[in-house]
Amino acid sequence: MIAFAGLAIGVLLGVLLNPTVPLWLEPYLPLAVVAALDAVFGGIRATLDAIFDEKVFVVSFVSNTLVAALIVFLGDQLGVGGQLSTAIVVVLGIRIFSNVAAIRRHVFRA
Amino acid sequence: MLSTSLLLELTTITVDPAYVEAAARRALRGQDPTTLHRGKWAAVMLAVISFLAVVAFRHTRAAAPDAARLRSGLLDRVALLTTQTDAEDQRLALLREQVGVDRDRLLASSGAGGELAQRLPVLELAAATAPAAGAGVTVRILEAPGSNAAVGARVQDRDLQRAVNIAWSAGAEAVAINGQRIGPLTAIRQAGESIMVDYRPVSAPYDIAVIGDPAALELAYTVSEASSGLRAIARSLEFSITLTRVERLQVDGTDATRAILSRPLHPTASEKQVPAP
Repeated sequence: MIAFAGLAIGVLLGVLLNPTVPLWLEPYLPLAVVAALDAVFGGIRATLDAIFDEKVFVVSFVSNTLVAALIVFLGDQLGVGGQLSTAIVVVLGIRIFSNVAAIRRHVFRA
Repeated sequence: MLSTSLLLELTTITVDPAYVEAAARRALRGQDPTTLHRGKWAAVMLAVISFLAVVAFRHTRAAAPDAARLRSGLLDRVALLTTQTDAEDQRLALLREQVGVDRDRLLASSGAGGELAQRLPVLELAAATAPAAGAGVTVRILEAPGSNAAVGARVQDRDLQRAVNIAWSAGAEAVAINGQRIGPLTAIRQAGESIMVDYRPVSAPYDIAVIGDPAALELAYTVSEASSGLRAIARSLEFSITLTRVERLQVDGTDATRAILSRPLHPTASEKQVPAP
């Protein structure tokens, strides 16, 4: 329950505060969202496997986001930022897909 | 090998190994490995994640109107420039008319001028600058239905060129495609997938109005040697070519003329620098 409360609080804060995204943060925002999705689906999967761990959940999201941001930042300096962010989206996308597939197997047994 | 193993790992080991290790550590410490560690930090995490998602969503939504605004700005500019071109065209027509009136007055003032004035209508007809009217035929070229796929199966510039040349070979006085008068300097060219007549796009159905002897024109389009190429293409690509006799056709003059021999009497500074083509 407390998890859903956190979810609701985040949505409310986003809607109410309506922060403007600084220009330098713009390329990293979608990556952070994709990394967050990856962490969330990984977490749900672990919960269904009955091995969920809060610390792993927090650390995996933070480190995923930081590493993704770092790679894109380096790529920007080298002039290949767009391609590297595509690579990150592909890798995280595959993980999200396979995690969702595992969740599906858990839930529907199919 | 490294790359394939990386891909394999990516697709087969989907559960984050950290979760498995954490569970194993709990088991080592004698705790129940399946104890669900859910607490306030996960909730904080989820709050951060949903906050991020909302911000990203709103940010993307806010950026969308910018693209639309850019597009509508470009469209406005196109419309504005089109109006300007139309206004210039109108002014050009007006000036042409004035030049014609002045020329006629000047020619009428002398005997030699009178002779020239008599030759003018014939020349104007040949140059396609004056509107023309008279009996003739209309030729309608239609593409085969469903021939949207390949450009090769559609009517192309050279088909229209052929059709126009058949008209000239039969002694046509004036030709127009979809209302665009064909003069000696008018180009019929392919530009990508569209056909430009006098640099203006025309599209199917192609209506070619030909002023001339209707009987000769009909003969030219149906049996003459000149039209055999067009007829062969029409057969193989299933174009339909329809000929209709018309008692009285009317076509506008073209404004695709260029001053080749004439020079301004008092050239302005800018004109002096540009040599005549």
